[in-house]
Amino acid sequence: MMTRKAILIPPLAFILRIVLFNIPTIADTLATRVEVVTPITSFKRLTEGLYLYENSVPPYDNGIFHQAPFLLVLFSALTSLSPLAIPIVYAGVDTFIGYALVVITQMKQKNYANAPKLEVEKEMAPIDPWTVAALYLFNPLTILSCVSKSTLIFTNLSVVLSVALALKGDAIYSMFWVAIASYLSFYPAMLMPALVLIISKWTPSNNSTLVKQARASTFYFVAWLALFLISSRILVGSWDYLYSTYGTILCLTDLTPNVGMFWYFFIEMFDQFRNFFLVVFQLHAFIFVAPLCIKIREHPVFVIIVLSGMMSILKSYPSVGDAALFLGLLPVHDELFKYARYGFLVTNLYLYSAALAPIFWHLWIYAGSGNANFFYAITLVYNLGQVLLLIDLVYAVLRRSYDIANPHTIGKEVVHK
Amino acid sequence: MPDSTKRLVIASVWAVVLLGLPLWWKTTAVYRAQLPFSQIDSWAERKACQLSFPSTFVIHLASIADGEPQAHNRPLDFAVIQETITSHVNNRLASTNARECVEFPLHVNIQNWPITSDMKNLLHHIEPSNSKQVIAIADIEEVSSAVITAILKGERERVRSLACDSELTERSNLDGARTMKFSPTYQMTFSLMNGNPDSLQVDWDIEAAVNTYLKPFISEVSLVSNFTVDSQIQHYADLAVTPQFMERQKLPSYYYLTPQTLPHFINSAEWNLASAISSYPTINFILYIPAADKTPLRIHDDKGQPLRSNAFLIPRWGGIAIKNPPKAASGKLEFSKEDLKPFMEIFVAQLRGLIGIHDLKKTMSSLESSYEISLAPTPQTAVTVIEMDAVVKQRIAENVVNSIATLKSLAQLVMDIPNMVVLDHIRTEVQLSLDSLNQACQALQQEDYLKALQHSIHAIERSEKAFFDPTMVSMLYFPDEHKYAIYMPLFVPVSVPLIMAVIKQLKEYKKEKREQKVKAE
Repeated sequence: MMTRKAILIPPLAFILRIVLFNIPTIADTLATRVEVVTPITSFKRLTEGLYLYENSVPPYDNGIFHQAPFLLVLFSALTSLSPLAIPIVYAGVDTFIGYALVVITQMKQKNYANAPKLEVEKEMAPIDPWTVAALYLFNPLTILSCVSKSTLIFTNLSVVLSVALALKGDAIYSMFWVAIASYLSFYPAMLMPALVLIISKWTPSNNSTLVKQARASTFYFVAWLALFLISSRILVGSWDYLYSTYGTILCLTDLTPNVGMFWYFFIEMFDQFRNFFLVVFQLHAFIFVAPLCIKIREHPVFVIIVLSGMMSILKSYPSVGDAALFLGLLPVHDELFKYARYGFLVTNLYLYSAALAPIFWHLWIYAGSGNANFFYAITLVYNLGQVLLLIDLVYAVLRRSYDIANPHTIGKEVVHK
Repeated sequence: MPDSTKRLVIASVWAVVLLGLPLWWKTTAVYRAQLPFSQIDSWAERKACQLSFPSTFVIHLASIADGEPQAHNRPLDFAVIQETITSHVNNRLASTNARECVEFPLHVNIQNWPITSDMKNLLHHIEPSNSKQVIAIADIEEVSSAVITAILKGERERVRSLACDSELTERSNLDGARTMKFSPTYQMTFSLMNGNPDSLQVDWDIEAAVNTYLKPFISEVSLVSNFTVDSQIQHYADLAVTPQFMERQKLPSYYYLTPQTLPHFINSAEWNLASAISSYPTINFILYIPAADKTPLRIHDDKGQPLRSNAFLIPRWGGIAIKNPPKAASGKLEFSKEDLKPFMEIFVAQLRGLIGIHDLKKTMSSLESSYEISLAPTPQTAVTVIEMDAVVKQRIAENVVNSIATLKSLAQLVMDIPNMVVLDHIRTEVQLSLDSLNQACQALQQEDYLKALQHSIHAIERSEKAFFDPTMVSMLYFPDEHKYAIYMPLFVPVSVPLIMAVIKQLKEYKKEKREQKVKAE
């Protein structure tokens, strides 16, 4: 099924990453960029925790390391193998995410083959799955995030795998991977209901009523998560890691700047209201799950895309790696592109923030001629771009459904009263 | 079908909002531990416990010296003498202020003291000037009350002014201005400043000098405050002021500093005297070696005469001594322990002033008395027991008054700002501080000054810990109206569509009901 051109994509992507890993100035610079790595995904901090772990010191005592214990075990094994192991694993995992996206796209196209379509779509071939992979693998944000050795890549891998397995109808392993993702960075837990929708919608099985499937999947999810948490407890020897990992994510104890909305807000927030606004912000990230799952339940893969976009905006420590996952999943629903209204604006907002964020960071931190507001303003622009894209997508999916149901309204303004 | 979807969506959003309400309540609750306001008030009004600084004097009276002929065979009535002395002293020291907030009970205790030969050398401490062999009762009374008055006068005045007067009068008091603010520990820094190391290298054996000349004094006063000692040598220590030149006929000419320029002597921009080692208050002592082109450097007094000591004290900061290097000296100048002795003497004298030890001799000489009183010298420690006693009393009064004032300000602050969070540990500190005050006051009444000092130190430390707690900053809190400004920017835009959606759904629901009714009919 692979075309001749497509066969070049994975090796090219792999080699490109390996080459970049071997240019120390690029790899080392990226490893410290706040746009790319956050306190909860930084490889530098992981190295610190790893050193303590391998010397039998409780790795969470230093207050620097905030990542899940499984990563300690993984990297402890990798570093003992060979110095080449880590770049190869990173490049390999990223390439594999690309392949998983191919699988997702194929499955989605198969499932939508008999779905109602617009007249114009009938003559058009859907997107080539390998184009989706290429769009992910050669997205500069993906490459930056991968070469920075951000451990977010493992979360992204887990999310993509859970979606692919859900499309294949494998509830147990889909829940396994979404539990891993939630275990690694907490927020992907919000994807669970959408995965249940995917499984129950396209898997013809005897217990495929939504309620039954939801009950079973919730059980698997909770069981896997409990298993991970308990085995982590055994690995590091105490429950302290919970506060160090999820406590940091939820309570925002590390205010290192990133591309998100949290850090500046909570630097400025009055102490008395800090807890209240933490609750508001964290609830805000989760408030969209139920409405989206109800309203767009006919397109559960699309719900996953929107929610990953939500995560990349509303999580407490976002980085460009989150946007990379969101933008990577986006072409799966390529039929929506013709409804997009803000494409030009959004592209420009991404480019604008990509150009100005490093400049303003330099002005603030090194030149001293700017201040924190400069960098924060750029993160606002970046997130404005993402929000516009999300609004556009949700509009597109609703309008397309409406147009399929009411073909006579195509091209006309629909006023919602 | 689309209607039920819409309702589900709205309900799911509202469910999260409603889930947030108890969290809102929980996270913005203002926790206020109950502070013991009434106790603080009663302390502030000096009603909780009467401060009293009792003193007891034991007079050893040699009634019959061995072998001496007895002029009067009448036995001395000790009780009468005690009473007379007490009333004499009290009359002389009576406060002009009608409202007395401190008590000074005085106990005079006369004991019969058979003199043995080995005690004779002690006798000259208090010796009537007319050198009569036999001392009349009137003389005993007169001498004793003069001595006691002399001892008590200064210390009583200071304690009274500390305890009773407002801070303003305390500031105007020159002695008070010189003394460092109380701290349980001070950091003492000895600095050797070299004006120009190009022509002269300097070094000093400060450790030995401190151990020999300062240690005994420090260990004596460690009862009140501890000291950490460190030293440094700084080169290229330029003067911030330009000394004036005095040209003299026949005599060698010299440079001099006038009293007006002395406050600017410290070159705080360039001399790195601030220490980051500890947060204790620092007492600086500087031995300054002027550069060759400014030697010899002297200090003039008000009348334009050079000071013999060539040293001066900066109130609440430290002391400075200037040492002009000998003309012949070139290359290297090293101060041995013995060389440093005169400077250490100066520094110890300055330190006495800085930590609030008052010269008893000065008070004595100011009193009109027909008797000459001499005090036993203190060869080692540079502080007498009586002086130490006065310092302890003074510091107790200062600590008690200051901790009461701190607690009072804290109570005022908490009452003024109803939104202020008062955590449990603040209440604990306040309570402990009050307890310490109580214990200090009781110890005072029992004349146990050491215990009182310890408790008063605890009281001031705890009250300041509570007052300077990071959560007790008034700037963090604001009136209720400002909360609207905090909530509105986010919640008004969010709540408008939410509420509108609910209203719209309710309207539609009513309409449906009506239609159903119409249909049914």
